[in-house]
Amino acid sequence: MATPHPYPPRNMPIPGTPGVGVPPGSHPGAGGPPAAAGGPGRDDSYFTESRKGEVNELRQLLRTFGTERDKQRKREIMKKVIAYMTLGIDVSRLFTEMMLAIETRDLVIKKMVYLFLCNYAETHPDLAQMCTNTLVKDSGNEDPMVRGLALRALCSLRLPQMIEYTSEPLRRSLQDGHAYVRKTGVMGILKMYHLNKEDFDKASFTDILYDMLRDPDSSVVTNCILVLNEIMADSGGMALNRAVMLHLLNRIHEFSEFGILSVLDLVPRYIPANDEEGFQIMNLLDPVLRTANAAAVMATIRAFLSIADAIGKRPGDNSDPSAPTVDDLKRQVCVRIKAPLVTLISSGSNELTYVLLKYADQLIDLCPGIFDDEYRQFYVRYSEPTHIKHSKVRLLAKLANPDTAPDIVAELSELVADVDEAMGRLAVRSLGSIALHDSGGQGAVESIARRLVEMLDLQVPHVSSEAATALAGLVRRHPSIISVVSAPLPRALRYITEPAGTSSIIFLLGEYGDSISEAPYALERVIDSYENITDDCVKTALLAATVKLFFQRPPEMQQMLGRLLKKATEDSTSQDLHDRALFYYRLLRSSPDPNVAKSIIASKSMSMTTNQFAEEDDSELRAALLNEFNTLCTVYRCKAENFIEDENIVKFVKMPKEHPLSNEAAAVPVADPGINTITAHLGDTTIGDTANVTPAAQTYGGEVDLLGFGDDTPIQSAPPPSNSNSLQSLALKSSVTLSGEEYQNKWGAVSDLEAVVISSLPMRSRPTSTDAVESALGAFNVMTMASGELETEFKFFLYCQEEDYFGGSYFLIQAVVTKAPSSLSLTIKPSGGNVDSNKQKEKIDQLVELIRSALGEYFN
Amino acid sequence: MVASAIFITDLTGKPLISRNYRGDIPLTSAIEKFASYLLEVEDDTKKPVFHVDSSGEFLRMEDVGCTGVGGETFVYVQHSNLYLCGVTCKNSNVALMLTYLYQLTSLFQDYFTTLNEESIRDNFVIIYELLDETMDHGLPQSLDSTILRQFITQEGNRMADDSKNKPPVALTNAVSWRAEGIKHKKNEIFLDVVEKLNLLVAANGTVLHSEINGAVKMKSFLSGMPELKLGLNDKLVFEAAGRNSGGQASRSGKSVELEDIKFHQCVRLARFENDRTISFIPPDGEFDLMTYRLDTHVKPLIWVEAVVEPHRGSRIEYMIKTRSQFKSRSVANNVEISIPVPPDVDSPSFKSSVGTVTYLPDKDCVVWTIKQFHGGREYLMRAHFGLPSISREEADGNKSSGGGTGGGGGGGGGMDTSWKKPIGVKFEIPYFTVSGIQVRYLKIIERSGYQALPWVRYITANGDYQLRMA
Repeated sequence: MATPHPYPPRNMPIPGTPGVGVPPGSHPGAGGPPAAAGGPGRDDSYFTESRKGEVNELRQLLRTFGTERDKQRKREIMKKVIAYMTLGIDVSRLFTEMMLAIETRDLVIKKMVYLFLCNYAETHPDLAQMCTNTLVKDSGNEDPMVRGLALRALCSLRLPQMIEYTSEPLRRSLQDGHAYVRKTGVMGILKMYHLNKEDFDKASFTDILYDMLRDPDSSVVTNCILVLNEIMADSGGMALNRAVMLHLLNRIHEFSEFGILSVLDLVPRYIPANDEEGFQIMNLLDPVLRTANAAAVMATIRAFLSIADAIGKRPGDNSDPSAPTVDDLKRQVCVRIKAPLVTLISSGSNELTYVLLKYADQLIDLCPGIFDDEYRQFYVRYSEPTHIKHSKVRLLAKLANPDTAPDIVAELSELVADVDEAMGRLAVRSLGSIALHDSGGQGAVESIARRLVEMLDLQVPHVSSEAATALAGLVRRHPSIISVVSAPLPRALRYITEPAGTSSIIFLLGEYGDSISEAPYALERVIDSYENITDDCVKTALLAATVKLFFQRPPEMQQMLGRLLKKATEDSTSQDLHDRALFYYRLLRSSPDPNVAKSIIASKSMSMTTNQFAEEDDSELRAALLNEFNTLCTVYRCKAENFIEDENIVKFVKMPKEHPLSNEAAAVPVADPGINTITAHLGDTTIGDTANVTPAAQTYGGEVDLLGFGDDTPIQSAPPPSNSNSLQSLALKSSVTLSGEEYQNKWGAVSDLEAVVISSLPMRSRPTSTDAVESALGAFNVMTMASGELETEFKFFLYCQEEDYFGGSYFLIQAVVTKAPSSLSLTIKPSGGNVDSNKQKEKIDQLVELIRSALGEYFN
Repeated sequence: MVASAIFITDLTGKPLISRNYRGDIPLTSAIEKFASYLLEVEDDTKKPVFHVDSSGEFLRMEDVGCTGVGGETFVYVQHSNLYLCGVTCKNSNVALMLTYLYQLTSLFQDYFTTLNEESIRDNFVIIYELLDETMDHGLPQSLDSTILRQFITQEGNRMADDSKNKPPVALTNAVSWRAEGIKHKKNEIFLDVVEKLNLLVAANGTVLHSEINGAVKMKSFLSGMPELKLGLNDKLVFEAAGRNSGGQASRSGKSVELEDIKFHQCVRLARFENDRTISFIPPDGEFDLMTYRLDTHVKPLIWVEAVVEPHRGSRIEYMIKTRSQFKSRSVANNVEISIPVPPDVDSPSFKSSVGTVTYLPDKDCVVWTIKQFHGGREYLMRAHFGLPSISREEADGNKSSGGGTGGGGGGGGGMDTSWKKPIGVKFEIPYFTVSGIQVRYLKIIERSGYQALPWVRYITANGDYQLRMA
């Protein structure tokens, strides 16, 4: 079924920006379309008319295109068309003429035509279809650049009916000799997927993509991962297992700075086989923290946190008392990543800093205290944009500890008087939160309370009000400081104008009225001017405070309570207030014992025992967000499913747990012997085999690099040449050549008795051509001497040489693939090199395995 | 990361060029939304990442998710008179989107030297090509200008008969930042060690924060595939050497402990982790080899004290004292001290022992320029301004008092701090690094064995250098 496209085509009806963008001197007529700059007049018939004229003029020019000899002139004409397109002028009427120009040898012109085509194909599907042939033909051009471009254009047309034309060139491109074409092809698969999912499933590209994870070119691999992640979005992205993950990690230094991200993004979904492997992966990734690419650094942090989560000991697990717990590990991770993150924050551009501050915020919540000593980094600079200042002020409160608090409090107090009102408010709130969390050490609460009290008198409405609110919270947490606070409250009530501040003061007066002698009189003033109160919150607070104070100081309060209850019950502005006043009134009147009413109304239930208000407790949300660290979720502090449409969500799914380590190779879609051989060939120590690597030090700070990551001189801890893992000991040389004569000599030199014959390995499907087999084997360094197709079978003469410092042995292979039923028979003769026959046998076994995996697509 | 589309607009949000990679969002209306965001949302509340819900409302950060699913997120950066913006409807990696946009700007700059409205309009064809090559279907590809330059060019390239426009292998091989077969007549390499001093001083004169942001910038004009090795007076290296060779480190002078180092992708990171050797194959041309940060307590190189005597309604007087706190053989060039003044001052008059003083009414500040400021000197400047008899604050205050209390913080007594911006200082000190970092050697090894000349320069300049006014 074709997916209909709900959106308008991709051309951009942009308010005309006349003249500009047109190359100088390219406009023979008037200086561009008449001025219609963005005004409503752009729909005016006059202008449309004139544009039609322009477009017609272009059409005339394009008609001469075929006869035009001068390359530059030709380009100018094209450029003009594209310029019009950019300006949003509809030049789709030139479609036919443009398509005639597609047959050109000038790459610049070709690209422009492709661009035009992609822009207007959706509106002119029939015309676009006409040029498919050219595109398909171009995708077989001898120039890899043209092949790639044509393929990209072909896949970008977004015409469902085109799929039948695209799938063949796509399939071909995946085997292309040039990486540029392959990587474009891989991306083309994704485009096809979005165009028509059913046809896509039929074409069964997915398996090929998994195979291509072994492509020698990292940019192709990158695209494979990206595409698979998107195609498999429903199941959380690319299917992942240990072999694939380790294969990719071992190659990570080959990736470009953007490509590396695709691998890093897989790590959080991976569950390390054991603790050691987890540490090894962290060691391997540690250098990425030194790259200047913020995205890569953040992705590494996310990977680290997830590994810590996977290998750390859970609470309650007492199996190994010395093993670090999850929290310990996360803390260590945060310690490691602190410096790089702070550098990025301090030296990045504003936009990035803003985002990174959000990330830092989340990390601070995760490991409180880690960033404390960097608090100076979070001082506000005058020149910074407001949103950064605000983020910093919020963060500063979280960085307070007994050592840092004095400086932070002083800094925040400066900011209270900032011109920016929102900033002033935030600063007061941050001060309040330091005191509330009691993070400032001894005496800090009181000193902050004193500062807040001073702010009450500052006569700046928003500051006083915020200070009052902060104090109200503070007194609930630390009732002892009421002695500091009480004195100025009645005074403050007079000049605080904001409702929030006023109600806070009223609350305090009601709650602690017994220790504030003036309290009743302060409230009385408010009660007397009840009619002037506009805000319901203030009224409610006033009512509650008055009733409470009544129980503490009945003689002074009785009169005014009566007045207030009268006013409140007659107040029709707020139902809630009215009901509440009635409730108090009836309770007081009806209860025989005033102590009953007292116990209901004036119970001291308001003190807080935790450092947090209930509404601030978001630990659940935080845990959920950590899974999606480094995404928009972190910035918005909101789970993805709450703001992203269902179809666009990539669920976070960990890989299936498949431990213990044994027999996993069988479950691996990409056969892993080959993988190990490839990496071994690259001269790297792999992390695939834990037996060979000494246990990683638990300091994964990077002092010890056990992996020899990305280094050209293998320095330490090369795995001992053991055959503990037989899959790793066979590596093949990449550039071996034998002449036909040599081949025959070698073949003849080994008697047929020594040859190992493996007959009739059943195959699921048969190869279509000898070339397919040859290239598949070539990727694994098994070379072809000669090959041929007979009626019933394919025949191959293959050879390869073991990678060995002293010149490894050759293996000469005669392979026969019978067509029906499909099966593979091999005759292998070792030649030269190692004479140890036991080892030789083992190696031949590995070689057979390697060939099988190279031809995996025919076996699975 | 996934970007549905990338577009570039001018400062009013008018689109200049755009590329819709995925076709899963209506691009035209997205651009319109972006323009109206620029127009409608106040500057103070604008954020570089914002979400527009499915009904087209701009959401505040804390409201995202409260109005249901759907809509798009915009991520944008500003460059001169342009906005570069990416749109996505997925839960994308924001840091990646920003990094891509930054790199795209530097790529454009590399191509067109300056990136602004004009250069966009003049080069739209190339820009389309670059947009296509750097991102495919919303996923970033290669952004390396040295590589892209080899096959994206408007110079005569005819298909197939010219090997030049083949996508270079370098696009896909391990040394992706350098093409093979580069030739220079003169093999030279220039090394600039640039340190920027960030400083924040409180009104009472205590240093709140000081740090050094350093960068080793290179301009490489070397042929072939040279292997370079850079030696710095890195403390850790010295210590390691000292351990091995019995305290020889003391002989080689002082060393510097670099806190957080970041490298260009050409540096072999594992090698550095192992033995702190900085070895690399450089890209051709200009690049930042490494950046580092040092969070140490630095004596402010140029100290400024200001004494302000305001006389309400008549005049305001400034006495500015500045002192250079570095060795006398060094010289700070082009020192500019800018002192903020109230917006409504008039009839300025200045007296200074050295340099020139100018009043910039549009920036509400006085700039004191000293061309050459030798180390260990101290200079004085006096400035005198007239003040109108009714200050602007008061006039505004009277006007807005009728409008209630919503007028913000500036209205109250004793709070007229709106002009109390910090004092800013600009300077450049050549042949000097605050951190004391030194290049000990730069070894260049190339197969052909040519002799190459390394040139090294040091410079210290101001970064974010602010002294708050009392």
